Amino acid sequence: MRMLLPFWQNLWTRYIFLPLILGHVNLIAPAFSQTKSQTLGILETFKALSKINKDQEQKILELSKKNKVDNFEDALDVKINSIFLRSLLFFSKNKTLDLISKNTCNFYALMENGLIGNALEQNSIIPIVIKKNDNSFEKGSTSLKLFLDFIYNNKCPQYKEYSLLFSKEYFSRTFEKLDFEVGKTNSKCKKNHNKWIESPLITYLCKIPKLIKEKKKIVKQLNFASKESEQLIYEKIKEINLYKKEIKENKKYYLKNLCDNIHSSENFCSLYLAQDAWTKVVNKELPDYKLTYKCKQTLRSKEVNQKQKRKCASLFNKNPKICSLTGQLGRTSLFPSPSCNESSNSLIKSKLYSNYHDCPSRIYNHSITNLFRIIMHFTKGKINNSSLENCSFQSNKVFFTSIYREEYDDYWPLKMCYESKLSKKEVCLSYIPGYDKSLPLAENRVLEGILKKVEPVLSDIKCLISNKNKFNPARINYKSGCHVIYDYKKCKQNTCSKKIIVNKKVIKSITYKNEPKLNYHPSNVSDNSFSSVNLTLERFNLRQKEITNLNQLKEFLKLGRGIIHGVGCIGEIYPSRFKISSMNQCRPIPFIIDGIIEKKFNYFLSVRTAIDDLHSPRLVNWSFIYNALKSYEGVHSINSWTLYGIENKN
Amino acid sequence: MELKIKINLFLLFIFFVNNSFSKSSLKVLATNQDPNKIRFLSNEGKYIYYQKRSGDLLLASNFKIYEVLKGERNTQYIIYSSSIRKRLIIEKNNSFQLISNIGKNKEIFIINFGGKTPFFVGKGSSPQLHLEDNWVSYFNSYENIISFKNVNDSKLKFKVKISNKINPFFIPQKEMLNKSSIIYTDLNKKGYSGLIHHNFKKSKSKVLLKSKEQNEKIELCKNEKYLFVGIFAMDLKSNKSQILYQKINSEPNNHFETLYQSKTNDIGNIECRYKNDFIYFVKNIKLNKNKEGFEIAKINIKNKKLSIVSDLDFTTQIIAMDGKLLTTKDGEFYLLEGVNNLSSKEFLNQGKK
Repeated sequence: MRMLLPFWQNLWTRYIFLPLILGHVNLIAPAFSQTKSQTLGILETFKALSKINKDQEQKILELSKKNKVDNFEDALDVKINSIFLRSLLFFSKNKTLDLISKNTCNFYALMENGLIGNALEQNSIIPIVIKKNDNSFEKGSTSLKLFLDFIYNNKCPQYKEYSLLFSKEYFSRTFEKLDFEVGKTNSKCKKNHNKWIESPLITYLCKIPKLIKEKKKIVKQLNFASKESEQLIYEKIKEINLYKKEIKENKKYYLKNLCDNIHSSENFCSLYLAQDAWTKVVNKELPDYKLTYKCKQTLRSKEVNQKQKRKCASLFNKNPKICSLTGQLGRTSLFPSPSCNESSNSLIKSKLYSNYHDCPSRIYNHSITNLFRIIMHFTKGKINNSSLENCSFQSNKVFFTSIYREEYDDYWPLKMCYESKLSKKEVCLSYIPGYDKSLPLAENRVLEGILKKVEPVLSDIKCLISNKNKFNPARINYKSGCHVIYDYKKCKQNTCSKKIIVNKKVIKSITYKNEPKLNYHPSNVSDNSFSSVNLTLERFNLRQKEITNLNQLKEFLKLGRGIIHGVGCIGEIYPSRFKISSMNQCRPIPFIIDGIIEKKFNYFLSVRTAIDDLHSPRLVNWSFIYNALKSYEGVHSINSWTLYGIENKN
Repeated sequence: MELKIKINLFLLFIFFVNNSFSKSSLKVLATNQDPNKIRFLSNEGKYIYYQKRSGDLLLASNFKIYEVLKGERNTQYIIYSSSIRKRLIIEKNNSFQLISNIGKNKEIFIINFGGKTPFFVGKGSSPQLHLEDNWVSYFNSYENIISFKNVNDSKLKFKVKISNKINPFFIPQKEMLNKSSIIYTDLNKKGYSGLIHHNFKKSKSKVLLKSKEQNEKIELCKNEKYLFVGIFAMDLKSNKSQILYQKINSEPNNHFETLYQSKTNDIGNIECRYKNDFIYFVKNIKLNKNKEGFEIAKINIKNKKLSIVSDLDFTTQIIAMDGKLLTTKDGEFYLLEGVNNLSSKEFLNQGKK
């Protein structure tokens, strides 16, 4: 029944609405109004009706092709054949037909822009009836282009101008002058919607989302196109590429939304008046990554398209608890995550760039996770295919590559050691965890170098790094060569079980010294330069300034694109999750603050501690943060205050 | 004359300004050295364990200073006590500032109350004393194992593996009812909190209580008379808090009486060891104009009367330390209950680093 209702509505619309339009405007050629239209019963199916219309359309076209008209020199008026017109309207969407009732010339613009009928092109032949100067009538056919030229010259001169303004030569200049305002209230939004619907430019604008959507289909047509139509298809593709290049994402989405909702200002406005982050991502007001990664994990899908994002947005709005339970990469962050409402409020204000997904529990030292996030924010780094298998490698690699300095090599905490055959002493070499073909300090490269010294291996040996889940000794890839196998299910303290296998033999002569001991902030006045934060600031040309109170924090976040980071005792940041039982008990945790919300005299900060899911920031009262900072300051070796704003130097 | 009036007005102004900022009536914990160096202060101030920046843990007692543990620079010590006053636990965290890791295993030592010779017990986190300070428990977050060890007999030890796989930063709470019976909190694979009773002799476990929602935590506290269970939500918008209790039994059951119930989003952190007939917890209160606030509340078990015992507007933790009940705010330690009864003779230049 639910399916039938729109069908009947559709059917009634065509057979009641149509006559109203046709009666109102003089589109039908009078000579052909005498033609008996076949009486179609209301009860006949849409399929049957379509067939009838198509057949009739074909018949009329064939008949009219016998007289091809190339010019309208002695024409008083030219109209479209009524049966063809009926067919055109039958195959058009209701929302498009709404535009015709507002302005007759829109009808011709709709034809010009391919928004009416079925695959009408400029070179399509259409059957017409010409009223000559001597008042006689002539049936024939002509190209759509010629027909439109006649109409624009004689009946709708302004549309000739619009047509030119939206041509390839002038499109950019025309488009940049258009204002796509939404309006923050319902009435303003509806007013804007109405303004566009009444505008004669609407048909030219609605062509854009239609063509962009059909790009793949159009490109495929090249395979079957004749030589004449090939050129036209190439022109169309150029046009689509122009739109893609010149129009920003949010405006593309605006046009799509507008053209999909010509008939309903409510539907159009509902997307823009929604206050949640999820809908704002869907309508391109917020970056994609604020929804995509959470959505991928929730739907358990490697990629998500626009339709799935809308599905996620709807799901998160209707069932806010779902974000507490899903959305993380594996089970690698503090559980439960905040609800969808809390995450949404936070993400709207959040500035942190986060176009990737990391896994906090797989990184032994939480400082690495925090600094990795800071580095990614300022470098706008992207990690392709974040997965549980490679997430920790990627975080470690970015972090350690950023802070490594040759002059500090002796102090580097990650070493691979072996016994030298010459000196019989232990030799330890610095390495950066993870695989990299070109980086000399990458784990695989350092291992290859050591193996050549201690084991009988080929000089061109290459080492690969994999997760135990993926390692299958029966497969050919793994039967020979060098492999480092990580087992995340067997972790003790700071290391997860790691085996080096060369030509199926487990190598025990090489050991890892792996305690990633790093000063986040300086712990000593003399160590000022050798702290991870200072090394990061230097590498990426950043600066930081101390933030000692709420006003400074508000000011810092208001101006610029900087973010704030700090270290505090987690028992004060999340007191409901971490109990303190003793005096000066502190579990230090680094965190990032990137937004602030004021609500009823409380100031809530958008916070991600290093153990939180990257895409689920929490709203934490400033008082908790301040308590945490003061507690940590008390136990810090040089009583440092550890809250700073970081920004680019330029 | 005019000048006098102006001065008086100025003084009045200063007086009003001072009093317009609310001051707490709670006393700051009295110490004769930097309180951030202190790790344990016995009730009468006879024993003070404190640490130095060099990484050493020291004991000050009877006008003498003893070295308890030696460590590298950046070592952090925490001392856990109980109301029995027989023993103390020392948790030693090497590389406290160099490695930030919530679940890191630290060296755990046991020491006599006021003693200076620690004994190594094991490696883990969240250590606790049980059964007249004769047992110690601790948790290994990487293996998900709670260990129970008898202090007097190294052969007496048990382990229980918790089910949690959903929260890598979960720290279970645990209590021993007797030598073979324990209760602890856990998380199942769907994220529901549970209170589990395990009998080592019979090798049997049973669920005493389960949370109704996945964002609820279960807390546990046991004193000489009662077993308390707190159920608190971890969601800002949730409006449910409960404290249940039952009398101590070697075989606990799932019948709990309700001691407290509220529609406020309390933090919890229940503390029941300070006094047997009272329980303390962190309660959500609305300050003026709906500003969020948290204070320490106290419930009398006998008459279920609730009172607020702090006035700091925003305090979130409760520490019971040998006859004193403390809370912290902005890095300061405040005395909720107990007395600041230190004699200045006990402290002789111990603040030097």
